[in-house]
Amino acid sequence: MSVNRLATGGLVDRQTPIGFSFDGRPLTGLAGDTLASALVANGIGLVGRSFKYHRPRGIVSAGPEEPNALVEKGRGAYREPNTRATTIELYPGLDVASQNRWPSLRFDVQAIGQLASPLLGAGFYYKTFMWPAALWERLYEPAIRHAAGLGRLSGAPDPDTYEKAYAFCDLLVIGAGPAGLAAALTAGRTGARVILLEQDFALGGRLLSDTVEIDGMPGPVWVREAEAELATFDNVRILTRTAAFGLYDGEIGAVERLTDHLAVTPAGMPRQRLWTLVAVQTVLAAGAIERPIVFGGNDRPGIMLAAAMRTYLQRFAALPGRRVAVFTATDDGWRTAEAFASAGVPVAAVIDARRDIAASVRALAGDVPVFLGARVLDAIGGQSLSAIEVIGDHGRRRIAVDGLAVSGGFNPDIAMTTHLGHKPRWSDASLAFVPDAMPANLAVAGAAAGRFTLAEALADGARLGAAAAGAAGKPVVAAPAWRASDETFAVGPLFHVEGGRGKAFVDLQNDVTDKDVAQSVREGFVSVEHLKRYTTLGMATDQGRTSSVNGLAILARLTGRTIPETGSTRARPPHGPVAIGAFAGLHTGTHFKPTRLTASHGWAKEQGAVFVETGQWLRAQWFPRAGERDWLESVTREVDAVRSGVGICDVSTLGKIALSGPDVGAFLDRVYCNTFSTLPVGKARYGLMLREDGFVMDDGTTARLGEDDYVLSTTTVNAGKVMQHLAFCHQVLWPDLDVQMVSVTEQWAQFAVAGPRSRALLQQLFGPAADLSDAAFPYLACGTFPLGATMARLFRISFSGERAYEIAVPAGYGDALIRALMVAGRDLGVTPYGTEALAVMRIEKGHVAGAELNGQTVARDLGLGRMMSRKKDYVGRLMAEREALNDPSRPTLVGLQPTVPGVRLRAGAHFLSLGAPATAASDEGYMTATAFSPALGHWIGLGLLARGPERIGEQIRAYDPIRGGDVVVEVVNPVFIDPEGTRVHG
Amino acid sequence: MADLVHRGGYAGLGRRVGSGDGVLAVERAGLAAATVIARRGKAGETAARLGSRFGFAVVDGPKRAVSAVATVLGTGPGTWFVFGEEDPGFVAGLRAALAGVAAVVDQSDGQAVLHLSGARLPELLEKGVRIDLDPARFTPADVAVTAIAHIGVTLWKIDAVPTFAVALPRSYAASFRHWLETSAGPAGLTVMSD
Repeated sequence: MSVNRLATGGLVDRQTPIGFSFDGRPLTGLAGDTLASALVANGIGLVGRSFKYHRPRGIVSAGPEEPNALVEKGRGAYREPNTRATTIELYPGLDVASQNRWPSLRFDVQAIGQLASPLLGAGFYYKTFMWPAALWERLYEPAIRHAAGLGRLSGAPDPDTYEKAYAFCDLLVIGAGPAGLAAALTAGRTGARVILLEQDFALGGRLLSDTVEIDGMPGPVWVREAEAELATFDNVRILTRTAAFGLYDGEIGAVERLTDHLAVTPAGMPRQRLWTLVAVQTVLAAGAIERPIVFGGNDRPGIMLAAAMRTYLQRFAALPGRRVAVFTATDDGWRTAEAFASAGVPVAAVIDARRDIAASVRALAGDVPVFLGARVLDAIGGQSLSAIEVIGDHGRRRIAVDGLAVSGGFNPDIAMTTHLGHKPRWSDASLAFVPDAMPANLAVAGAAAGRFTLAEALADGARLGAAAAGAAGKPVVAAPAWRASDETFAVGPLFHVEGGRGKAFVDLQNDVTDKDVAQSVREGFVSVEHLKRYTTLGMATDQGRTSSVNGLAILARLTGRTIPETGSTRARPPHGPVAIGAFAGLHTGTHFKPTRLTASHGWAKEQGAVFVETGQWLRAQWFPRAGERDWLESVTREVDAVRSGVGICDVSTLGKIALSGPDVGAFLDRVYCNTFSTLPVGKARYGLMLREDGFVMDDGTTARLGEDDYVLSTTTVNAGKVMQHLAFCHQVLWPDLDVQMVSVTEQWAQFAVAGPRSRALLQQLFGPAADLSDAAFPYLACGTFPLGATMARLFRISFSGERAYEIAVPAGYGDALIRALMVAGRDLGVTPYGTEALAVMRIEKGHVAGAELNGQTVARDLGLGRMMSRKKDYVGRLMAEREALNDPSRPTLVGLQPTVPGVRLRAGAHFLSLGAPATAASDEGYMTATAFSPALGHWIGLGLLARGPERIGEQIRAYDPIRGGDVVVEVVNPVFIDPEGTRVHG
Repeated sequence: MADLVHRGGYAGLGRRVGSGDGVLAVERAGLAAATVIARRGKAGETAARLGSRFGFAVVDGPKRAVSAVATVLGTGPGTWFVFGEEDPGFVAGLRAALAGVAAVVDQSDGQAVLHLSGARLPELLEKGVRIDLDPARFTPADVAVTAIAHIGVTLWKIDAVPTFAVALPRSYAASFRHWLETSAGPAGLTVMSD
């Protein structure tokens, strides 16, 4: 048995020892232990070094409020820094290390910094490293970063997985102490849907630690019975190891730890689950957190919150000291003295700042020395506590101790009540902030409401549980009335003992002392929010649970105000640390967003295609062949194949919207800047859509396949945006138009078949079922033809400038169609091509695409000004008339080619007149897209150049300082290939 | 002329994970499907004609009506998603029946449909569906247009066992299976498709 483990009692399993290690030292704990309780049981008091001064620190609390005992858990990529020893559940092989020390916990070189501590007060960094500014990045910041901080991140990607889940209920109970269990039992018995959250691995809260009785049963027995009863209800769900971290509009966030307590993670099991909980009513029963007292040397290992000491003694049967004194301003502190006596280790003394103590409370100490109206002035020791100096009526007296239990009062855990902006109120009776104005559908029970006794907690829980059940239409028939043992919770105002010699810490986690608060006040930071930011009081993992109120009280006294006049900082979510991976859930890496695959994806993969992300889609970028040295060689081959024979490209990703109804023509006239109401059946037309502000939004073709059957295409990336825009126009602007529309992007697999031999290929595919002669199916024709068991849509449109078609079949036939097209074109030398070849050919043809349709261009900039109808109104017409948008000096689409063959052009290069300085003031536009043109044998580019069309033939600089490019280019017509447009009929 | 073979959205995505028996996901490929959108002011008439064609009551709301030949799902105001069995004439017949009152757009290949069942199904759904699927609140008469793992889905309940159906744009099928595998994998999952 470990050195400080009691022989009997507690809720640990003495039959199940658990081996673990701390700083490499093998130790043994018991099932039911936390890391902190196992360390206490093993007599380990020194657990870490402090943030700023590297002072030795021990365990202060027994819960998530722990400011001191932060350790690194796990190794390698699994290493998790700043983990609270009080919340780590012991498991076989648990491997933890202390942090913020070097070379060892006992001998820490940086602790020498304590000697310089008079220099290290609040605002030290702000004031000290001002000059010379040049040293900031090279010296000061690296030095500060080296010295500051606590644990170290692994630096490796998080190897764990996380998931999300959503649940709904009539009553959500946060906290499974007496109030929470009472609420869950009361509502659960009616059949109402209840979810009960408990951050601990065991239900019960303080009932596991305190000597209390309910209905004559000891606390843990009552908890066991309550848990057993709850387990019989299908309508009640209990989530242990689950901490609520935030209250949001209509939702509560909580994180469930699934594997953090397991030695071996089951296959596929995520580490944590992020819950979004939606409840009709929420009861916050999170209890209260004990408040320490600020006095000299109050950070010495061995000084612990009084209720936490009771938890170690009575729940974990671990002795947190062999000669302990109690320093209290509360009745509850005396119960710790009683607990030590019950364990057979009576305390050395009880020091209470108050004089007026109820006899029943006084009796809890038995016959140990008691000092009323007294205070602990200083705690003395190094790496452990050796004595305390007590000041009172007796004068000063030194008492040798190895532990000190401190109780300054209780802070209700009300952070969640303030997450939506509500402020708490100071209660002079409880000497604590208690909830005041409350968010809708949230109620607070028991100690969290400042109602600290067991009887109050049970009554609150029963009342609020019944109310929630009633609201869910399940009224309580017989309200439970549990009988609790008597207890008192009187508290006196004691936050700070002045006059000690040692450093008096307000915030142990951030090493903020009473002197720092005083300095903050001297320097004018008298608002609580300024105090927090200037001194860092109340920040980091514990979020000021043990420090905020003491800091406020000191600030109030120094500024001559009351605590309510001083105010309080408001809590924001998350209430406790949440792994960032939990917020991401499954959506990391390639699964960050869903991926869309076209019907021909499997076939393209078989061909060895290289894929590129286009929005959520994966598209074939090019199809490399054996022997090709780089992408350019593959792409050049694909372009050549299209221009000289026939190529096939999957264009299924373009948005497709079906339109129907008597008013489609009128509707299209209003959303496109060119006219569509004249589009005959069997024809397709290119259209340009503007935003309301007159800039170009998107382009595409609309085909009319039947009298009442239109299909509008969008670019791949803008498909969703255009659908949303059209729905807005119809539903909000013109609900009077009788138009029906729906996306059919997913219904159709569509392929471009391009090149002089495209007709031959398709004729081979369709056979006599389709007449594709130019007379029967001319440029811009569209129609529907039978193809096997299905019907194919055919459009004669071209993006490459060659004779070209797009063929669409229901997506289930898409895989079969690409294979059939390849078979039909085998003798014609058919070549699949990807988005790179597509891009090369559109640049050669001067067609605009995403790089030019960038939200900053108007139709005129793109050379499409003549498409803007003057005979009708349309979205964007009026705003496009603005003077600045018609300024001839606006950058306008041109083609560019190098003056020296062989020079590579790069998109993004800026245009400068020859001889102009390379400054932003001389900027005349930029290169939007470039490609190597196989037909021309050199690089070409498209760009937006000020007064571009007037400058054809002029030479300008394409200046690209980021990549070291600076070349002279000639401004040319943006249509490099076949400017007469004959090949589209060829 | 080529004869083309039809493939469902989950073709080739069948898989067994772990014990395979916690959740069963079976593709319903080849169903006929159409979006029905009422012409302006004709929602009531469209609902009535849909109802008389299939012999059940159809309302303009997020409700499901079902018979041996068709399932009608309310997916938006004056908008329904209609599934029929594997019948090449189903959509054309529907279009004829609704002529003049509604647009009927063929979506037979646009959606990939899975039927989900198994003892661990409620646990799986809880990891993706952000709506309350309590049996008293979401019944076989209900339809939800919602999202799972950032993928837009139409969700309905086929029976009280429960068996659920989830339809989503077919290009997302592989990503949806990733959600299924990671969320139901520890419980055991079988995905069955062509």
